Amino acid sequence: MKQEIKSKPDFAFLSLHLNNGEQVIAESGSMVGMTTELTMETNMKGGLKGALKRALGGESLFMNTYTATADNQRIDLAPATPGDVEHLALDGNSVLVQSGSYMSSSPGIEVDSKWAGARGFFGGEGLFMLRCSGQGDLWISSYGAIHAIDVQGTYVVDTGHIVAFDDSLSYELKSIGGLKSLLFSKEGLVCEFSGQGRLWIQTRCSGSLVGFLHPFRSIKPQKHAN
Amino acid sequence: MQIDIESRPSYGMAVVTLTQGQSILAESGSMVAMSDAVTVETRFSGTGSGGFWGWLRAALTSLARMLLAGESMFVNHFTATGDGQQVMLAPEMVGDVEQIPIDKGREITVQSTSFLASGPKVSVAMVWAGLRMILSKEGAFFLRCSGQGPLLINSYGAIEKIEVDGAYIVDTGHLVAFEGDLTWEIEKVGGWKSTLLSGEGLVMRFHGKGTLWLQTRNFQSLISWLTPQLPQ
Amino acid sequence: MQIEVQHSPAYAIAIAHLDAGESVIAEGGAMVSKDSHISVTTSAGREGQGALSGLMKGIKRMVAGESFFQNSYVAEGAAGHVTFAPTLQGDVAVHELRQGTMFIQSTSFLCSAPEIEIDAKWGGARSFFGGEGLIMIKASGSGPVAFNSFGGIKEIDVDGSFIVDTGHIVAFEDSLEFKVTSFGRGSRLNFKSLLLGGEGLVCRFEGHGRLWLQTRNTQGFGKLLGRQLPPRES
Repeated sequence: MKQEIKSKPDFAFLSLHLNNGEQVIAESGSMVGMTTELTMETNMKGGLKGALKRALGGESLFMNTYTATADNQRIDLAPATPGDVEHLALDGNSVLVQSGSYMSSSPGIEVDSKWAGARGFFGGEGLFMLRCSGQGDLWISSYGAIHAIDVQGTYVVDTGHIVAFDDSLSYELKSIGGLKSLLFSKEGLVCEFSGQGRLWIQTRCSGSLVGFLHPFRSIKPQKHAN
Repeated sequence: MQIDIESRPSYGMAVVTLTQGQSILAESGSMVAMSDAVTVETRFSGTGSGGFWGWLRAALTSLARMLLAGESMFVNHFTATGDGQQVMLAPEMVGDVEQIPIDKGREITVQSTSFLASGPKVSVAMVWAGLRMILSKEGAFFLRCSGQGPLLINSYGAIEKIEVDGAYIVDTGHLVAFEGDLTWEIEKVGGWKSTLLSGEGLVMRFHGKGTLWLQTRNFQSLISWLTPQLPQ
Repeated sequence: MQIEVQHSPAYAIAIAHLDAGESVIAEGGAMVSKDSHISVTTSAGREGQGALSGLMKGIKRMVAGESFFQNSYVAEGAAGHVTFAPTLQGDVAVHELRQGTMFIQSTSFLCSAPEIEIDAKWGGARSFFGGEGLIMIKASGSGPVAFNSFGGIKEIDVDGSFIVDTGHIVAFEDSLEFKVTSFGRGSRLNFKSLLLGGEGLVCRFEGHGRLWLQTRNTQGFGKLLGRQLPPRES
């Protein structure tokens, strides 16, 4: 399999060339274009329970598995968000990935949404963390550019900007400043990471876009009681 | 006419430098900035020859373009009154802008929301994209551009050119434009289960030899990503 | 204090590098990450300006659409850095003011040195955008100011006159004269262009000075997306 991430970080997308029998698993809706002979199969990833958990987070229930039927077949994949795509090679280690940032992976990667404790991360923003582990390739996407930070000691990040981090890091969710800061500073929750490991952050956050769009949405018509 | 595209590929903006008397026709609402001496005239986007019937035809085709293709009813004709005057044009959506020269024998079909601007000698006609396209949410009409001169297209995402030689499958939401020589059909990918659940929906299968312009993002996916995060 | 821009031009961020004891002022909600020893305080005014004037400035900023409370980040006891990101995607530019004044579109202000005075109540602040909810704020003093664009930033050195759609203005130096009009005034346009040309308000700049424009416009983008999103309760 040959992989190339094109157009980084501006609207990055993944261009893969698969050889006979090779497979890639991708989020539903991520296919841009492909050679006609590739086959596609749709499944509920992780069984019913896993899929339901993802549905609660607003994720699609389904994943698509693309299989090449001959050598050198091309498929281009892109995420929904304006931003970057990054490749992570896993070799028995685990990475925690924000659910909206999972784009695709090779069959050797286990994607687990069972880690329910991490729902608190985003304070009900419809996003939660997925644990990805195993051997193979993982492709993550971001809203904005991806900025990698090697944590040594402690580091504080606004939760809306977290894309992924090594399982080896410990973390603690907190509010910054005092009570006044929490109410007025608009920085909601932050996450303090400690230990040694890599952290990937994105340079934009969906919460800000959601806030910006709020006044542009139409208002539901009021129901009147008779 | 000199066209330079800046801020590629994320926020493409076309900087058009005109010589005296030259014009560029652009979608209404696309002007970013311009030299003070450029004159502007707003006209119907549809075509029609002179006289009352010509005017009526132009008005009706413009209305049709707005209702069916989602295009504006009006275009602005920017004309330079001296050499070196500039007009800067950009679409509303984030993404790229690309220039494609139109010539005799080289017609380009553009997905309706991807049309940004064209030279005065480029004719733009609405083309019905087939019944199944209505299901695709991208709109059932394309714009076929022919004649001579520059064509400016815009995309959501970056633009990726694919040289088709044989066959190629494209997700309908990622199509920007294609060369007239290519033929296409709309079909489902995989079985019915895949079509409904895969998120890929309908795809277009292109045949022949020619260039295909794709965008690396899909507007409907952006909406689907945002929707669960919206507060009530 | 130094402001560094990274990930330009598509999703740029500003990183403020502070020496021990130095501070930077930023729009509330803009922080992405920071060293742990950078303290954050939410203050309505600046040191030494007294409670009343601080509150007044805060109210003006609220009216301008900026957060009422700006945050002050101080490096306590050691040097450190704090990273800021704008609300929407696009670029960030840093301009060094030298006893100068510039005007910045309110949602474009990102962060600045504490010595820079930010004022939203000068004469033309609210009328600039014809009541569209956007406001031009005035920044004066000496030190770096970081502002962001929606889309790419294009710098134009005006020498004569130039017309810009108001939704595409990020900032400009106060040496430029400006006049906001409807699209069509001042050229040989017809009434139809006014109503239907779709350009709304434009600003004619005259004189010599620098202008920063953005290659996308927030109102157009907001409406385009807003139309497609499900309606809200209130």
